[in-house]
Amino acid sequence: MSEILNVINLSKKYGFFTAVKNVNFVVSSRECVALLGENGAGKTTTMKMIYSAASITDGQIKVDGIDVSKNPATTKRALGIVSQEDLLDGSLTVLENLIAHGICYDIPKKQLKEKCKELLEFVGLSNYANKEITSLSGGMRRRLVLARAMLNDPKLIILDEPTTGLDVQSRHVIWKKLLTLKQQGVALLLTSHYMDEVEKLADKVLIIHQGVVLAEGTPDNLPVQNGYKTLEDTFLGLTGFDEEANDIVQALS
Amino acid sequence: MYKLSLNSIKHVIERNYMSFKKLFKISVFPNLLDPILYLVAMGIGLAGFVGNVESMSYFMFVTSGLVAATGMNAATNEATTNAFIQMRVEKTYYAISMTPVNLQDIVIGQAVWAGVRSTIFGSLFLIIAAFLGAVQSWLVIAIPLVLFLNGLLFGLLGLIFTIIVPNRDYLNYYVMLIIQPLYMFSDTFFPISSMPKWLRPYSWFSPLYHAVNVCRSLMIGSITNVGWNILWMLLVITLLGIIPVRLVHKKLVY
Repeated sequence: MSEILNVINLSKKYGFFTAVKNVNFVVSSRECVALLGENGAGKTTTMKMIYSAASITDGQIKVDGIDVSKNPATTKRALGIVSQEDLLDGSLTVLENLIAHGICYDIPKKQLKEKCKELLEFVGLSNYANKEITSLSGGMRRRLVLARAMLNDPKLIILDEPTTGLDVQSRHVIWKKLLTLKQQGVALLLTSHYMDEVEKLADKVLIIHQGVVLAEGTPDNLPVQNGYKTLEDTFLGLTGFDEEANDIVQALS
Repeated sequence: MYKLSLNSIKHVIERNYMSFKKLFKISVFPNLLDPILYLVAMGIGLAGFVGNVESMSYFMFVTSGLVAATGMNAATNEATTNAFIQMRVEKTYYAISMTPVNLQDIVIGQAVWAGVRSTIFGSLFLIIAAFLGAVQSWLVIAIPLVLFLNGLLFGLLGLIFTIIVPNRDYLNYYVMLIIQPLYMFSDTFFPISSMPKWLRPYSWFSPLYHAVNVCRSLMIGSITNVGWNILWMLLVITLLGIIPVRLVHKKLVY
């Protein structure tokens, strides 16, 4: 397994507010690392710094050994991104959305068309190639975004809540695709609010709270190391949402 | 961070062309209807009362002004409404910037595309006007090039505002306070010489005034005014070009 992503002493400040503080982790090929944290914990900010959509305040990120802040155009070639928002172009069809994205990777036209068709097949959208984006359901849109993230044969796919808001069937379809990709050697970096998703996909979990990594381990080991029964208990316990707080919440409601 | 890539800019233009091709039939009508209405109202309706202006027929005067103004409006639509949707509504700017294409390339690509749109719609209007007898010289074949520069300039200017404004309503201010006055007072519908003396020097600052001057000269077959005006446009394009490249990183990368 070769290291694809190195995050070294990474920090992000907005004025006086520190969104990400001294975060370190590595993602290797054939590995899925999950960032677990409540809303505003700094997960999306960390991901955005990796694909240069947010600037780095302190520290360093290397993708395939290359410094992200020195040469974003090169490092982005190795990345596929499933962002939280779909960011699809409403003026184009399903197939055209993929082609418009693929153009930006210098993929020759003929090859690109083949690749797009192949990917639509992979995510089960072949029948929708010439449909407008508005005709897709939420799950279909997410699958299209996943296909878009695979156009450049990325070494690392960044998945920011890839299945939020989807029905159980759609989630399983996406999980299956992601596990296939992992087997093929792709590295995955995931954020999710679903514990079952993290347990199913991740080899390593980082629990992040207020920009700081509180604990790190495999989904099986993390509860054992910290004296909890399940991953969810560990997450809630470590992030301060313990029994006492729970009682107060219940008393208030 | 501000290094532009020609290859990336080319990809942005290709991408814009893909959308444009699909929406051309819908957008061609409003883009051409406006100047055609003005042409009929002023160039034909009003012309009978006016006679000659600056030693040419008033029809010729208005038509040449409208060619440049059509280009300006087409570029402005691209750089304001279309760009705003791509930046803040559908956020395709962010989707494209996930690829090796950086935000700086996207914004310059869009300015160049505004130039292309100005060329397309300005030239279409010129062809319509030609059927009505507004072309007197072969020099008109150079007009698409002028339209491109004019569109690039207004593309950059519009994009600067679009990047800065906090919401869509502010774009109306740009159109009402900058584009609309330029449309009216840049030698388009009446000569600057008929304006109050103190106001005349300001026309020199209007980009449209220079584009109108060049288009008018070429349409009547003269090149006396062309050189300096083109130089003015090139200079302003160079100066303006730096601004959106810097702004886009500041305003869209958090």
